[in-house]
This record gives sequence, structure tokens and C-alpha cells, in this order.
Amino acid sequence: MSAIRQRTVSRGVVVCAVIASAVLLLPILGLLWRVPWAGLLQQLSTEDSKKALVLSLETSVVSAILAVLLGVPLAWVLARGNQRVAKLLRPWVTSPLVLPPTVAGLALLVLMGRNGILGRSLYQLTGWSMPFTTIAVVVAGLFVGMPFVVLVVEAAFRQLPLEIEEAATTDGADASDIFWRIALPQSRNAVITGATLAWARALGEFGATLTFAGSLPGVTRTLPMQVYVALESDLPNAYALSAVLIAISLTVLYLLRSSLLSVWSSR
Amino acid sequence: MKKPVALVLAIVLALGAIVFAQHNKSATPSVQVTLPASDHTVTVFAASSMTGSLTELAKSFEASHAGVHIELSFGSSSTFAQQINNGAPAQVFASASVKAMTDAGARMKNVQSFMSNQVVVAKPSTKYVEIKTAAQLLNDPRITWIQCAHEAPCGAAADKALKVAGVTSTPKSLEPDVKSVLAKLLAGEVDAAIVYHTDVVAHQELSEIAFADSASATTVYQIGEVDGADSIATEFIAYLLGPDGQAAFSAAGFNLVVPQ
Repeated sequence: MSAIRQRTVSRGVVVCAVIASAVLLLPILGLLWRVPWAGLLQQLSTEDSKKALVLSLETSVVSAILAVLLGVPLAWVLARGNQRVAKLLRPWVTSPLVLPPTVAGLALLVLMGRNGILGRSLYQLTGWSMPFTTIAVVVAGLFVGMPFVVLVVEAAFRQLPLEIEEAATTDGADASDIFWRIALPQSRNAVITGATLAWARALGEFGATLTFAGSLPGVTRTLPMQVYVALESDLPNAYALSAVLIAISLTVLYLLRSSLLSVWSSR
Repeated sequence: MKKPVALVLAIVLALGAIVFAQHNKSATPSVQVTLPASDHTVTVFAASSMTGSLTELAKSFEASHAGVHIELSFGSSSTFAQQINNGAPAQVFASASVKAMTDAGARMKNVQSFMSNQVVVAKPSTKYVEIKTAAQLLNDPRITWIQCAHEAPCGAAADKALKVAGVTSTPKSLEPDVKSVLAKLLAGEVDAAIVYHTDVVAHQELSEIAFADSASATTVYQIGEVDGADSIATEFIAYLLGPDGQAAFSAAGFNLVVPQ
């Protein structure tokens, strides 16, 4: 098996792969080279760094959980519901994937801002508005992250052989049995992959968060924003925070490699 | 399999030949039309607070200097300082603070202070007309307000002014530059914001409450050449510091008297 694999990689392909790896690896290695490892803990224990780290982890995890809770049912509807509706709906619900983040933030502001289409009534009724709150950070992460869940999980749902569902129906399973006991367990890896991608996107989000939520330490200033602020005042701090972001990303990708691989190979 | 490849190749070659021919045809006369001073670009990095006035000045400079193009880039002075330090290809840098100019480092030449600006409390002109002082407005519990991050010149000036004025409330957000502070104020997401006097001059729908202690609210603008700037860059700076430039900056609300 491995002998065959070795032989199918030709020299030209290897050259391209080396260039590809260099493009992806060198900037990251360069950044790690600059990280002040000796004073790393000290850099990370400044008050603003700690606040940004905790806030980013909390909000991105909540965004990812919500993305799964809401995105998986949507994926099921797109895969098995009325296909004419699904065809119309699909480009819209996945569009945040390709929207520039600042546009995403602006869209959220237009809807939920204090002068927004929904936000205005909310503010007049309750005196509360979403921008400048931690909830706004979560919503921004959900908006840009959930499309990953929808995209990946719907693809998995579509691969499920219809015969199994037909057989289950014959044996007396109803629609909810099919979703909960067949579709969902069968697509477990896709859900994990979608959640991971949604989480990673939420963790790295900058433009949408800044436009919609603002930037206040401990409330809305996430790690990427703290890095941006530190760029102008404290470069070693920016490098140290970047190292943390890289470490978190690599750890998660490594832990989830089996799920990620199996989703791609089941295609 | 071979046939389509040959066909595609033939089409590509034919298209290439056409494009080449077109290019040559149009290139020949245009060379004769262009004035002797061949196309020349001066890249300018400037604080976003100068956007309106500098854009107009650049246009009139281009009008009187055929073949010269002034490429303007507006943003946070502290971001530009970092970029210049890292070799960004600018020839002129106009900074909204002395600190940002200093941070731009050894590549800066012939740096001089040329005007100043003040941070003020800006609010919609129709609202809170009864409130007279900055501290009164910002300390009011009904008011939400924002300012620039401490690292940006507008934030540094705001910090000083707020402290002297005795403001005890805290901002809802510390935005990366004055543009994004202004955007949220104009969108109505906040009741008030610390921006520059020049921003209020540029927006009729806003009115300002100046800080009583104006010295603490003042930031000094500096301009200089970046290493490698040529004579046209020098000429452009001289134009900005000359009567035309001074008139435009003054009309925009800048103070031409530089505090020592």
C-alpha cells in the first residue's frame, strides 16, 4: 500500500508541494522566530493580554456551539427539505464565507445597531443595544462561522445512502428518528469538522467584530484586535500573542486530525 | 486528446498577437502626446484627519505639475510609522503626533511641526444642547461615548484631555483610529465621541464641546521626507507649507500656530 503511494508522487508534483509548503510555513516560522520566548509568560500575563485571551476563547467556543446547534438543523433541511427552496436559500446562507469581514460587520450593524432595522425597536423598548457588548462578539463569530457548519454537514448528509433511511422507514422509524439516530451519528465527523472550522473562523475574526462590537479590553477586544493594537505600541507583545494563536490552532488541528481526515476521505 | 490542446494553443497565440498589435498601435502616439516630464508618482502617507484638505491640495498640485501623480494613503499615524520603519515605499509622511513621527525612525528627513489640531467632544448638533462642559456630558449616565485606542494619536490626546477635565466615566470602545470612531458616531451607535475639531468642521450634523484646558487636548502635526524622496516630494511639502496649503488647512479647522 505505502509502496504504491510512494510511486504515484512524481518529481514535478513534489517540487510544487515543496513550494506550497514554503508559502504556508515560512511566514508562520518567521513569526515564531521573532517571538520573545524568554519573556513569553511575562508578555502574556499583562492584564490586557490575559483579558483578550480569555475573551477570545470564551466567545469563539460559544459561537461554535451555537453554530452547531443552529447550523446542523439548517444543513438537514437543505439536504432533505424542499429542494427548490434549498436551491434559493443555499447561496444566501453560505455567503458570509466570502463576504469581506468589514461588510459582515456593517450588515450586522445595519440590522442590530441602535439605529438598526431591528435594533432600533429593541433599544426603544428595553434601552439595550447589542453593539459594544460581548454578545455582539459572539454574534459576529456566529455569523461568519456558521456557514462552515452548514456547508460541511450538508455535504455529509447528502452522502448518506437513501436506502438506509428507506429501510428504517419501513421498520417504523419516523422523521425525527432518522435525523437523530441515523443521519446525525453517521455524520459525526462532519459535525466536528464544521464546528472546528466555525470555531477557528470566530477565533480569528477581526473586521466584523471591530465594526459591529468595537474594541474594549475585557468586553469586546479579542486576541486579533489586541495583536493589532500591540502592533503599534508593543511589538514583542504582538509576537507573543500571535504565538498563542498559532499554538491554539495547531493543537486543535492536531487533536482533530482523525475527524478531519475521515471527512475528506469519505468524499 | 492532442487536437484540443493544439487548438487552445493556437487561440492563445492568436489572441496574444492581437493584444500585442493593439498595444503597439496605441502606445506610439501616446508617447508623443505626454509632456516631457514623464509620469512621476509621489507616495504620501498621512493621518486620516487630513483626508479632506490634503486630497484637494494634491489635486491642485497635480493640475499645476503635468505628469505628476500624488498617491495619497490615509490612516492611523502610528500604523504608518510602523510601516515606514519596516521599509514602506512612501516619500512623504504627515503625522498627527510628534510621537508617531519619532516612531517612524531614522528614515525620516527634514521633519518639521507645521500645524496642530484639538480633540473635542463631538455630538449630534440637535442633542444635549443644554450641556455646556465636556465632563458634564460624558459623566452623564444616559450618555454612551467612545474614543480612539490609547496607542493612536487621537487616543493619546483624548486620554490627557479627559484626565484634566475630570471625566470619570469610561468609553464603550477604544477604536483603532479616528475614522472608525467617527463612523460609529455618525451611524448613531453612540451619543458622543472624542474626535478632532477638524472632523466636526467637516460634518454639519455634528457640534462640539471643546475641552476647557486646550493645551491638554492639542496634538501637533509633523511632516517630513522619507529616505529616498526626490525633488518633487520636496516641492510638494513646500506647497503644503506655502500659502495655498496653509489656506486649505486653516479652512479645514487646523490651527496653523504650532505650540512650542
